[in-house]
Amino acid sequence: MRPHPPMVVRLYGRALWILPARFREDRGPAMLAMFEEEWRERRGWNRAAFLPSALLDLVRTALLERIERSGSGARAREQRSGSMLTWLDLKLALRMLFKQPGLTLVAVFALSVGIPASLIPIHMLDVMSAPLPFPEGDRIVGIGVRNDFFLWRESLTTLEGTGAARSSPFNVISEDGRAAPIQGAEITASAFQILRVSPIAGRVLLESDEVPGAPDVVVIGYDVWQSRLAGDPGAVGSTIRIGTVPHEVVGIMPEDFMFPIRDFLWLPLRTAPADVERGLGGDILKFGRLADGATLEQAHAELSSIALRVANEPPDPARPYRPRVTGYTAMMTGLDSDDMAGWYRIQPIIFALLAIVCGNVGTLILARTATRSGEISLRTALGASRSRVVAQLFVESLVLAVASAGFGLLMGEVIGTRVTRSLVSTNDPAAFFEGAPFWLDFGVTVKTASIALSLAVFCAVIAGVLPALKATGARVQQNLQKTGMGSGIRIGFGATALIVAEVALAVGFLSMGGTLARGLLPDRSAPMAVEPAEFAYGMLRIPSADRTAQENDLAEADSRARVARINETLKQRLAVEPGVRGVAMGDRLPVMYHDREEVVVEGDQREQAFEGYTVMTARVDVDFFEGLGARIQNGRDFSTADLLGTIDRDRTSVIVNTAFVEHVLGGGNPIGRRVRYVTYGDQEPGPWYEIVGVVGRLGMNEANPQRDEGLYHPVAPGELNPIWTAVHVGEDPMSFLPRLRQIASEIDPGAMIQYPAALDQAPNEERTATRWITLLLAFLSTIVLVLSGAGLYALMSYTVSQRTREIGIRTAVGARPARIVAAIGRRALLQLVAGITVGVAVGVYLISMLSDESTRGANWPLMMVAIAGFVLLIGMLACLAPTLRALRIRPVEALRHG
Amino acid sequence: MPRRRNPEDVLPLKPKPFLLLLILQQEGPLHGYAIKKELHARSGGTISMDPGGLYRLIARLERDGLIRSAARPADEPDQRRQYVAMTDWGRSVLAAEARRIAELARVPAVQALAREAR
Repeated sequence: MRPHPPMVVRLYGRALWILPARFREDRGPAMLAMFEEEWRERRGWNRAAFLPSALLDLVRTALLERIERSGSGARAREQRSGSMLTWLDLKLALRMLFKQPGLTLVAVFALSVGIPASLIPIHMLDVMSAPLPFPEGDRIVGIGVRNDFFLWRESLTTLEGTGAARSSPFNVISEDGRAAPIQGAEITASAFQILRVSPIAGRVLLESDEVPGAPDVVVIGYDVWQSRLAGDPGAVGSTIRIGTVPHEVVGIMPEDFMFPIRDFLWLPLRTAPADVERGLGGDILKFGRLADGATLEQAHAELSSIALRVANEPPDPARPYRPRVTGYTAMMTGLDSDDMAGWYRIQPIIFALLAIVCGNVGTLILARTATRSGEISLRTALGASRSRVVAQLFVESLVLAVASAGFGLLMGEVIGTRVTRSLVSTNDPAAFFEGAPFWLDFGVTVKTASIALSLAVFCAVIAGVLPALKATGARVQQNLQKTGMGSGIRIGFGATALIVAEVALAVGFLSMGGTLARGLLPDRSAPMAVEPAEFAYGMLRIPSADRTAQENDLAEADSRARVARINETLKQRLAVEPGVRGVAMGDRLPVMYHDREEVVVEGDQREQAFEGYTVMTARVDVDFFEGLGARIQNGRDFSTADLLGTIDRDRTSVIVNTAFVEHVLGGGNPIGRRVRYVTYGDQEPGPWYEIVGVVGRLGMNEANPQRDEGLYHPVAPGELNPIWTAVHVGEDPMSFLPRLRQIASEIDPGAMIQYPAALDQAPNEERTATRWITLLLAFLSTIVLVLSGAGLYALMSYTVSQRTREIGIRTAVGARPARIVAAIGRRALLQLVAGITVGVAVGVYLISMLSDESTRGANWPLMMVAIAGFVLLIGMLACLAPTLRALRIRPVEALRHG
Repeated sequence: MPRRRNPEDVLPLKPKPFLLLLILQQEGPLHGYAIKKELHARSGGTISMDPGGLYRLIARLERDGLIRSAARPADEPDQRRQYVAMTDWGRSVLAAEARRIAELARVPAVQALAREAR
């Protein structure tokens, strides 16, 4: 079997779609094989240079194949009917693009970002609602009903099969005692028939496996087979230990099979009949396949009517029961039609932004077309019709737009693949990152690609046809007749309006973008009381021995005692490990995302208004701060005396951090002051919590370290499962992780450590999102800056070059150059200042709509002045160059100009 | 049908097709990457073809009947590879081209030019 192809090879494989279908079918696989072989053989710089060269070769091949094909057809057509577009247009267009590389670069840059960026909402929807990658995967549906479903599911006629699964991590222990949690599912045998997927070895689960007391069997995924059984061909029939119980491996599934979410092994789903009757049994996913000819709506109607009829409890208005049938992927991603509508509402706004980008490119093309009016009139004189000339100009911008869209899609593919990977991190079952379903692939889809190409045509019309019509209008031709050669196109008032709009857009958008980006940048000035890089951490999870125990208080108490015992033993065992300085457990650890709550302070004037301060919260073990090595700066640490009673009612001690004292309490001595959570409406107010101690900054809000205020509640051992566990080991925490797992599984074979890593690597979705948004804003701002700079330059130099004749006359009658420069500069300055004024007004309005938090730290008036100055500079430079050029021309020459 | 034509009618061959036919003549059926490496080696490193260009050339030579696709060897591990081999027509065109070059090389003026160029 070939090794899994590297990303570059898959990228090349995707890029093959630009070839004509026929050629791609005939030669695509062989080309891919050749590419892969060469890629694997090359090394170093040679290898780095290979991809761009091969992609260029691909573009050339695609173009030549298409030109040859359409060329032979188009030539014949033209001979018949004098057709508008020929392969010659295409050749001319390509030549034009290379002749003016500056313009091409700016336009390609703008469109290759603008087109894919404007497709993001549509693309996201397409990805999220894509059908499962199984035969007729779009007919697999998700079923939202209670678990009594199992009693009556046979009576459904619109579904040809139904199945159920429950996904959770399982502690798989190897022969050598290595333990690692692997995400798996208890699943009905029927699921494999519904999905129509066969194992690559052995068998799938059978209904006989579901009978209580049947032998313990497991079907494993390809990755588990490779990573845990080293791809052993005799794996079927061998035994793996899951927790304490040995299971026989009866089958191996194909590489891409990770149903129902991202699962790597499958056990028979054995539900106790008593649970089913009560509609209990935990969170079980139900799904089915639509029968031939049945629609989603019919299935929904049938299921709802039965479910509501047999529901064995009276309807509860507080918790209405709404059975539903939806597409499987839509159910899993939680995407319903309302969400869809919301996304589609954003789309027009984004298209409007794209239109602005196109308008900018159009301005550039218009300015260029204006310099070609001589050529245009010559062609007209030689007998070309107006439509013929417009067609040629259209093909030019079409080539530009399509090339940009293609390039943008390629970039989109690279970014999409990265996003997919960052969600999934790797296919290593032990490193599974919760919540990313296996079928999600943010790479370019056929739908996105085809919309992108349609948009390219749209852009070509805006940026190409409109300027072309303008450049070939009847007045232009008259002008040319009057003045001979030279530019006959007058942009006139339109140019002034365009310049003002351009400047206003740049100043307004950049001010807001800059302010936002500044507000998002993390502030490095806030030091933390601990050094996260010195900690190894992971999530300690102890699956309950009996899943229905949740329904049984007695069993729950037992289970809690077991969790508490494991937690405490783990702490003791870790404490005596060499090199370990402390152990801390809690529902959050430093630098992770923390939940936010609103609190009020006793005696605070704002209490009456039910306003509150947003603070971070965490529930921590009583040794948490000691384990982290964080000093209590004021008051005392938690002790076991704080753990009496139940979590929310009786335990009133809390510890706050220094930021809390500063921002919420406004300084002073915090010890003994009381806070409580804000409640709304008729809700009973919660208890008052008394502040007993103060700690330093422990990374509760990494997205905005300046607003780090938070409070900690104590929890007793066993109350949290799973629980994050941090071990202070000093240098190289990664090397401690295997030991951490080993100790946990030695204490209890069921106990597992999930997502182990060094604490400074802990994922913080909020921080990641912030980084992406900042990056995106910076990127968009750069585009706006470059585009408006280029557009402004083109417009300015164009309007000045229009006045070449005037400059000539003035020089001829003896005006000093300084006077001329001043006259031209005055007009340009007026246009620029008008634009800046509008832009500043727009910017101030936009910034005033932002919240204080997002403008924090940004000196936006200064930024606005800087941006305005920059735009002014570009504008003045843009008119200086053509003015100087005009002054150098001899007056007689200048007079011959339009 | 190309076979009925006279091989001389399609001469002269351009360097890449000529070299490619020569390679197939001497080495027997080959796949794309092997052809690429042979082309590179025999041209003294001056001919380097990427997949698109090479398979376009192969497609054209196939259309002209000079080469044809050949069966994969039984021990070929990669099912995606396409093998090509010489056709009889290709052999006669290559022979005609070789004859043409040899005759050309015998012309005294050409020999003189070649000596000067050295």
